[in-house]
Amino acid sequence: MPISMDPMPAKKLVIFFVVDTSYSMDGAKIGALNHAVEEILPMVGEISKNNNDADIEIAVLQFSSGVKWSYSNPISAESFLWRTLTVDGSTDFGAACSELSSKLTKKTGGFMQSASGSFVPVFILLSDGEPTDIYQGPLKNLKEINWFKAGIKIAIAIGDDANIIVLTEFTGSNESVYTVHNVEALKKLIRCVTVTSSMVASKSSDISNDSKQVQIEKQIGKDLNEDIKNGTITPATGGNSVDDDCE
Amino acid sequence: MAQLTIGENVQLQSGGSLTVLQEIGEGGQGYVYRVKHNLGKEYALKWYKSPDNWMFSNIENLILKGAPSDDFIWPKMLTTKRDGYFGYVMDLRPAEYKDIIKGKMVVDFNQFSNSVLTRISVAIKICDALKKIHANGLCFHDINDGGFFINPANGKVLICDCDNVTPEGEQSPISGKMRYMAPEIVMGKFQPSKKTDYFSLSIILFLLLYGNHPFEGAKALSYPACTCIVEKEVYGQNAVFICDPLNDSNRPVKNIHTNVLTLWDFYPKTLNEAFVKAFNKEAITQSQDRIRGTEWINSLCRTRDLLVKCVSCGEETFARKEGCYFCNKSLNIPFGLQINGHKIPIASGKFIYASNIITGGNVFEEAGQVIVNKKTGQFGIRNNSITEWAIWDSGKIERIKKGGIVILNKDIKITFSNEITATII
Repeated sequence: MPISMDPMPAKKLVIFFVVDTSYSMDGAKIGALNHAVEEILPMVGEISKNNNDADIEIAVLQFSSGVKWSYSNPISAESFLWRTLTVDGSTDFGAACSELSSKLTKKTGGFMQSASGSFVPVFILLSDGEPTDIYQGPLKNLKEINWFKAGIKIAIAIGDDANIIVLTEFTGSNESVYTVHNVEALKKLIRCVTVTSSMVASKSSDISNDSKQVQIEKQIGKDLNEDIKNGTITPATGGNSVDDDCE
Repeated sequence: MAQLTIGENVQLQSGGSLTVLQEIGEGGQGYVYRVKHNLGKEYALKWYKSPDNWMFSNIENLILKGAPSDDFIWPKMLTTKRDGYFGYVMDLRPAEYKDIIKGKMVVDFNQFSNSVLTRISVAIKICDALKKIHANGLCFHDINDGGFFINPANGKVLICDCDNVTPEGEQSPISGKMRYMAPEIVMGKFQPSKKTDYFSLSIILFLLLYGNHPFEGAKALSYPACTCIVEKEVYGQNAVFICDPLNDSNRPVKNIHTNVLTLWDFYPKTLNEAFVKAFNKEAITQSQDRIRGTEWINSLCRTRDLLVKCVSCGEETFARKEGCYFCNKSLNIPFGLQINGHKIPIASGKFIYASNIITGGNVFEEAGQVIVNKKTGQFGIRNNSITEWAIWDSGKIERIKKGGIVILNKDIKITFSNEITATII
C-alpha cells in the first residue's frame, strides 16, 4: 500500500462563551442570544475545518444561580450542537470566574490539554446586569491565570443595566466592551465578535504592531461602524446610546 | 462598506460595472465574491476589509504588468473606491481545481496513478512558478499554505492570492503569517525579497513532501501556549529544524508528527540533505545562504530521477540498495544511465526528461521512456523527442530518431545532444 499522509497536527483554540442566564435575560434577550450563537457556530466550524493552523473548540459556561457547562469538555466547532440556554435565578458572576479558573489548566480535568499545542483562548462574556455574588476575589484570581491573561477577551453588555465597570474589569480594557440596545444589534454583534475572533485567534500571528486582541477590536469597529454611528451598539470607549428595547 | 451584499453594484476603474452574485469566501484580508461583469462574464472579486493606498497602487501595477504565465490567477481590474473601500477582479478559479493544502491535510496524491511522481512534479511546478515571478523582477512576498491548487485530472498547478506580489526592493507593508515567513521577517528586521521567498518556499515544499512543519517538533510543543512571542522563538532566528543532524532539541514527536517520521526514511538522502541545508543555522540566520528556486528544481529533479516502480509489488519507491521500501524485495534494476555526474536507474516505464539530456532542457518534457520487450525482456529507451540520438556501441554508430528505440546494453554510449553523452552502466 502506498503511504497516506495523516492530517497535520494543529493547535487547539478554545472559544469560551460565558453567558449570563439570570431571570432578567428572559424573553427576547436569551431568545436572540440562543438564536445568534446557534446560527453562527456552523461558520466557526467551517473556519476550523478549512484552517491549516488550528482546531477550534467551543465551551459554553452559563451562570445564574450557580454555574453550568453545556458540555463537560470543549467540543470541536465542526460538530458542536448548541444546547438552548434557559434562564434561572440570579447572577453568580463570581462563581463563573471561579469555575472558569478551575478549567484553565492543562492538568487532568482542565480544558487546556492539547498534545499538539494551543493558541491563546478567546473569552466572550455576555451579561445584562449586576453580579449578585461576591465576585471581586474570584475575578482577581482568574486574572492572575496565564491562560486568561494572554487570552483574547470581549464583553457584550446587553442593555443599559449591565455593569460596564465589571465587564471592563473582566476584559481589562474598555476597548473590548460593547453595549447593545436591541435584539438585532445583539445578534449582529455576537456574529461579528464570534467570527472575527475565530478567524484572528486561530491563525499564526502576523508581524503587525497590533496584538490579535487589538486587530479583533479594530475589525469589529470597522464592520459595525454603521451600528456604532446610529447608536444601536455602543463601545464602552464612548458613543451614543438610544432607548433600550431589549426588555 | 467592508462587506458587499448580493445584487449590489460595484463600479470598475476602467469603466463598466459588476453585480455581486454570491459570497464565496472570507479570509483575513477580505471577502471574495462571485460577480458578473456588465458585459456578461463572471469573475471573482476580492473586496478588502482594511484597504489602504499602498494596496491600491500595488494592484494597479500588477494589472499593468500582467501575469508571468497562465499558472497564476492574477489581478485583472480594480474597482473604484467607495468610502475608502475597494477590491480587485480576477478570473474565477475553475471548479475542478482543489486546494493542495487545506484543513490540515495535504491533497491526497494517492488519487493519481503515480502518486509520488505527481507529488514531486507539483513541488517542481511550485518552484518553477516562483522562478517566473522572480524573473519578472517581483517577489511573492506572502507565500503561505493557501493559494496553491491542483487539477486532479492532469496534475496542473494554479497559484492564487497574488495580490501581495510586489516589485523586489520596494518598501511594502508586510502581510502573512509567521509560520511561513523567513526568520528575519518574523523578527521584524527586513523587508520581503527573493531571499525571503526562498525560505518560505522551502517551508511549503517541506509541508507538501513531508506533511509536517519543519520547525514544529518537541521544542515548539514545550511552550504552554502559542503567543506572538512564542512564535518569534519557534519561527524566528532561533528556529530549529526538526531533522537538524546537529541539534536534536526539536525532534518530531511520536504519534503527533507521524508524517515526517515515516517519510524521512522513504525519501532518498539527496532530498533529505537538501532540506537539512535549507534549514541549517546559516540559512536561518543568513539569507545569502539559502537554496534558490533553480537549486530546488535541480534537487527535486534529481529526486524524481531516483523514483522507480517495484517489479514485485508495483509501488513507487526510490532506488536503494536495500530494495523496495514497501516489500523489501530487490528492485532488479538492470542498468543505470550515467549522465552529467548522476546515475539514473533504468526501470520499466521510467521517463527521461529533456532537462536530463539537454542543458537548460524543459524539466517537464518527457524526452524518452524506458520500455521492456515483453517477449525478450530486453530493455530499451524510446526517443520521444524531436532530436536525433546517436548510439555508440562497439565502434559502431546508430542514429535513433523520434519514435525509435535504443536497445540497452552495458557500456553503450548515447549522445542526446551536442554536449551530453550518457553511458549505460
